[in-house]
Amino acid sequence: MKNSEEAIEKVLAGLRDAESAAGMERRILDQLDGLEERAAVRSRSGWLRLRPIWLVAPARPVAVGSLVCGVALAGMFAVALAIPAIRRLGHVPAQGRRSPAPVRSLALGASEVAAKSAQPASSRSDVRALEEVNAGQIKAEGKTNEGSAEAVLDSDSVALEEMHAPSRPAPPMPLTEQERLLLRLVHKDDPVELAMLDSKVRALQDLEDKAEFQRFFGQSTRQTTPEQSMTGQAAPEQSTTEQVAPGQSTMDQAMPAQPGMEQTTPEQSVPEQSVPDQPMQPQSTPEKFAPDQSTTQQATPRPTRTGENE
Amino acid sequence: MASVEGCSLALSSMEGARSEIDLAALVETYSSLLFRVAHSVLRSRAEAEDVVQDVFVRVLEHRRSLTAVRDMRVWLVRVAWNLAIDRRRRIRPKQFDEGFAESLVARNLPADEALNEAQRLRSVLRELERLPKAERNVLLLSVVEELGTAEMAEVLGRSESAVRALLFRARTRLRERLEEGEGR
Repeated sequence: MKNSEEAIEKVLAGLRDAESAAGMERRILDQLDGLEERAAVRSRSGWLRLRPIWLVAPARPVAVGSLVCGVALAGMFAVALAIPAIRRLGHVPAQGRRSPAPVRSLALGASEVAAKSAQPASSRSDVRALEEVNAGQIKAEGKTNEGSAEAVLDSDSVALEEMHAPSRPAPPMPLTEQERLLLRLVHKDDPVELAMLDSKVRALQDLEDKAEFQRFFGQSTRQTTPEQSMTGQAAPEQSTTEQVAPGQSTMDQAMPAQPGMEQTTPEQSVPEQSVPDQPMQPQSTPEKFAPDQSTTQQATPRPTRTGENE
Repeated sequence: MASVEGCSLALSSMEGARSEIDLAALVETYSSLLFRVAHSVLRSRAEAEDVVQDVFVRVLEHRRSLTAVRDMRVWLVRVAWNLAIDRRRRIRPKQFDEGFAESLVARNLPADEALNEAQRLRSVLRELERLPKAERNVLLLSVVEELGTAEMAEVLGRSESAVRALLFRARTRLRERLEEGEGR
């Protein structure tokens, strides 16, 4: 009985005398301060979120700068859009003032202006005639409808105004395909080719070419005649065409004989130093060559001359 | 006595400027009382300290509505009590009870006697927990000497006579159970 009571009292006393750890208040206060600061920051950020940006702006200079630039650009853009619209609006009433006039008179005035622009060289008499016609029509209308006389007169004045207005040339039409080709020719092609497009010039050019040809080859045939007379002494009985071997062109035969070539025989071979001089001095070597050799030398490439001579 | 004066000072400051709650003054005035209340339920210093901190966090959260609190002391004790009960449900208090019982054993006792004493104190705590809830709560709150019957009644939501009766029954039942246990 006593032991149990003592034990109960001891336990209750222990619970009663329990002491907190040292510095508990300080720790709790620090923790609460941290919580308070966090709550304040949260509330401040919430307030900043709710505030308009121009109130938050002082805290963010970069944001302010970008905002000001954006506003300025938007203003400039709005002004740029508004100016053409204002101008358009300013023109509309002037046209609106004319629009109440009868459409017929406007059409007439437009046709007159078109006619005037289409025939700028026409005299003023045509215009006067048109005015008279218009006036006659107006008079006729005035007889039929006296009430609309003033309106007709107004339309007449509008038509006259349109008529006397300075003519405006028609806008340039787009070029056709042929015109574009011509332009390309004119601006890019050779002037000689362009001149050849003319048939007369082309015929003259042909004639000149033929005359030049005749003149040139006529001279050349006259020059080759003495050569043939000289070589003819060496081989009078052989013609040049017979001495040309089959498969060899006349140009090959015209080449000087060189060592190693199949055409040259040992007897025909000459000292090497004299070989290059052979074609250059045809008059000085006829005695050194045999009659067969001379015939090969005589086969000069002049087929055209022979053909022309023939 | 000094704590009572501190409490009255805090209350007077609360009444003088109700719009602004001086949290530091509240902590300095009531932290030890709240610690004992929490410790009576939890029997652990660390857990009791956490409960006290949670109480003042609640104060911070309800700072604007604290002006409607009639008795700050009772309100704080009730908050601490409820938080401690809630925490006790989530933790394993048996280990805390064993540690608390060993801490109560006198250090100058021989080892066998110290073991017997520790076992006896553990049985007291065990029987305390086996008491009916109302009796247990009244008994634990009565440990805190600073709380009178009226305040205990206000904290527990009972009348003062009921508190007194519960307290008497709790002590009697606990003693009987302990004697029964010793007789076996």
